Amino acid sequence: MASAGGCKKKTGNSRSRSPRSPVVLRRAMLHSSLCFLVGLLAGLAAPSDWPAAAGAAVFLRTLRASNVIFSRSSNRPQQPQLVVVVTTTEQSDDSERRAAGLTRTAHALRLVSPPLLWLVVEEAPAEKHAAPPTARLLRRTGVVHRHLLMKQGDDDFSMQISMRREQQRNVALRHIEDHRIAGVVLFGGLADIYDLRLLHHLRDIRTFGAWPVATVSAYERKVMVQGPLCINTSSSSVITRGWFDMDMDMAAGGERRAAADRPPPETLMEVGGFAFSSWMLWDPHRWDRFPLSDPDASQESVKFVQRVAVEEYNQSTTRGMPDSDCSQIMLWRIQTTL
Amino acid sequence: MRRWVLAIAILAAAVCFFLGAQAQEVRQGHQTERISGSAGDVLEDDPVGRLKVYVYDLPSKYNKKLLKKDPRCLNHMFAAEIFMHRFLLSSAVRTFNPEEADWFYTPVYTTCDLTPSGLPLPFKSPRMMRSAIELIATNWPYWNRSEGADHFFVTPHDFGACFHYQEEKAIGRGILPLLQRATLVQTFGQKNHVCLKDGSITIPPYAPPQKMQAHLIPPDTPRSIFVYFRGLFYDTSNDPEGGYYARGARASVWENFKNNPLFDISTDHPPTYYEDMQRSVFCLCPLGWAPWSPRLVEAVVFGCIPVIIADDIVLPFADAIPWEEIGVFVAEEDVPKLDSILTSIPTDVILRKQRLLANPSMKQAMLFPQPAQAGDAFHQILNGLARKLPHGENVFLKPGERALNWTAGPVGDLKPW
Repeated sequence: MASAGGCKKKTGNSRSRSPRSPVVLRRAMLHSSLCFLVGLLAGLAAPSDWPAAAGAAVFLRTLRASNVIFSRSSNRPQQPQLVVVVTTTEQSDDSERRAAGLTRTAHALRLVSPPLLWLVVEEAPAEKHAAPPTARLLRRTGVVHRHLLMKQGDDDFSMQISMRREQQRNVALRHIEDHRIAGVVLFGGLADIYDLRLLHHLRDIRTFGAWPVATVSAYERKVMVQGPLCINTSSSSVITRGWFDMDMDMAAGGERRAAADRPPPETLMEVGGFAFSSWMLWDPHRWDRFPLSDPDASQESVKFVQRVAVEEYNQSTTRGMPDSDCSQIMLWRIQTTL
Repeated sequence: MRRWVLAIAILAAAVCFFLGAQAQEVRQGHQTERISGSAGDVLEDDPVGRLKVYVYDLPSKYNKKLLKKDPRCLNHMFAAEIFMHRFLLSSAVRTFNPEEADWFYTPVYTTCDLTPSGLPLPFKSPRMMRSAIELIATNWPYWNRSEGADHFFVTPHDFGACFHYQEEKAIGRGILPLLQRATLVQTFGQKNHVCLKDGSITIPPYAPPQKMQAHLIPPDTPRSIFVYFRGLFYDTSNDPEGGYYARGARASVWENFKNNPLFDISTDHPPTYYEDMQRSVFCLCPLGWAPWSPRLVEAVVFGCIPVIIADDIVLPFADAIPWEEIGVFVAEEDVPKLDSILTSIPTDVILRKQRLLANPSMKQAMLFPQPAQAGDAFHQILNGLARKLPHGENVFLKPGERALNWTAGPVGDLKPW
């Protein structure tokens, strides 16, 4: 879209000058015809029916990804980092919204170059231990995914949604740990909408990365932006030095309240705002520093990750995303409480 | 100016051509391919008219009563022995006149003896088999005529007619002496193994056809898993120290590739097992305690290229199915290199294997459907028997000639059943 817009503009500009310089006209015509061609091709190549086109394409993508991955052992040290996206799903009675959220996420992930692994966690009744509708949906997407099922206990309905979401994240982290899957892990929710730049730049993260998150509350007509404050010390290194909250009240005509700087969160960080390199899950040094005084938390990988995220903030080793000043919202989270 | 127009036109034409070619390729991906001029065509042979089989009428304690006692026998990997019996009873190759029969079949369900947990352990099988042979040898003249050389038996247990579930003991026992001249139809296949005699017919293990049918997904579903495997890597209960189970090959798969995002491998058996195979490019079929496993059947039926990791395996109907062309063979010692072996297979080779696997006759030959269908595993067994005809001179004994030693083998086997 962006390139098409650029094309149009150029054509318009040149046309006004055309009587004076035919060279410019010629160039403009070349430009416009090239743009037309590109658009035509894009239209032709766009898969009208996703599964049919995906059949061979995904397969080839997988292959290409594999070649990239294994070139590490031979001679190319610069191989792309694996991106692991963990998506937790809401309660099972919410199947339409889950389908919508998964479809949207799948479309976003299809735009990310391989290698990418999508872990979708879902609760399933213990006796069935199956979730066929989701499995079917995921299969059609062509995204390299693993559908992890979590047994649903009897008492689960009384449990808070946030607790269950946390349990689901633990299931995914356990899978990553058991398999020692090395890559950058991003936690996603069904209501999350990604800026593609975030997905593209995730694999640049070496330890931690953080970015501004906008939480849109549909019913209160309010937007809350949370994110790291980044300071660009030199051309190469970006450090995060703080944390800000900003409310925008749409009801009051989009009035912005001043961004409130505050120190990094002290205990746990909201998982939507950061991604981390999975090796720290099995890094003994980090586990050593984990306070044993908190036995509940030490059992839970998610809490561990959130805590380490805070540590990383304080040590200023976190990478601001996607660029040096962390000024752009990379993730939109829509809060709907139906 | 004209030059530019020309250049653009050429470019457009080239791109259209390229896109067209690509679309063609995608369409070809869904096509099937026949193996013309090779053994593959044998799969479509019709055995009717090429052989006649006489089915001995045994007391039901050798077959039906065993099944009645434990109906689970119909669902395990060795159920082919039961379905083969049922198939022959209504088959067009069956003859009621033993004088015109080319082959004799003894319906005895030796593996239908399950532990409470459902494991078939063939402790009673040797005595049962012996008892059945004694019966046919006394009541009909045909056994003694050849001492079993024109008889075939279905012995689908782990180590076939060696009748033991542990390989070491099975080797120690050897094939039941009374079956030394008979043709064995068995799942076990490994070259140069005492439990595989010359002339045996290796068949696929039984996999429930209706169940597999029920899990079919649209064939255009993208294959988003590169390598898939579900099953044990270690058998800690039977091989606590490790190294014996699967000769270490499965352990090596896990240790080398558990962290590889392209390897979707695990011990969990998910409810979408069959569906996941259909969205995988490669399905690992490593040996377990025996070289074969139901994965061979599942991979072929679900169009997933079988990666066979079992040195010296003899594959089902290897004289009719071009395993080398549809599958990938990886030596057990090369398991650590599995990633580079699989990723270096050229795309067109993979696409060809997928087209061959899409050939329905390949899938049909792996299944024992109810009722039987042309070209299925029953028919392949008959084809195999028909190809051994006419019988050679050494099949029938000269008057007074004796080849079998009725008292050979472990003493325990000689006890009446």
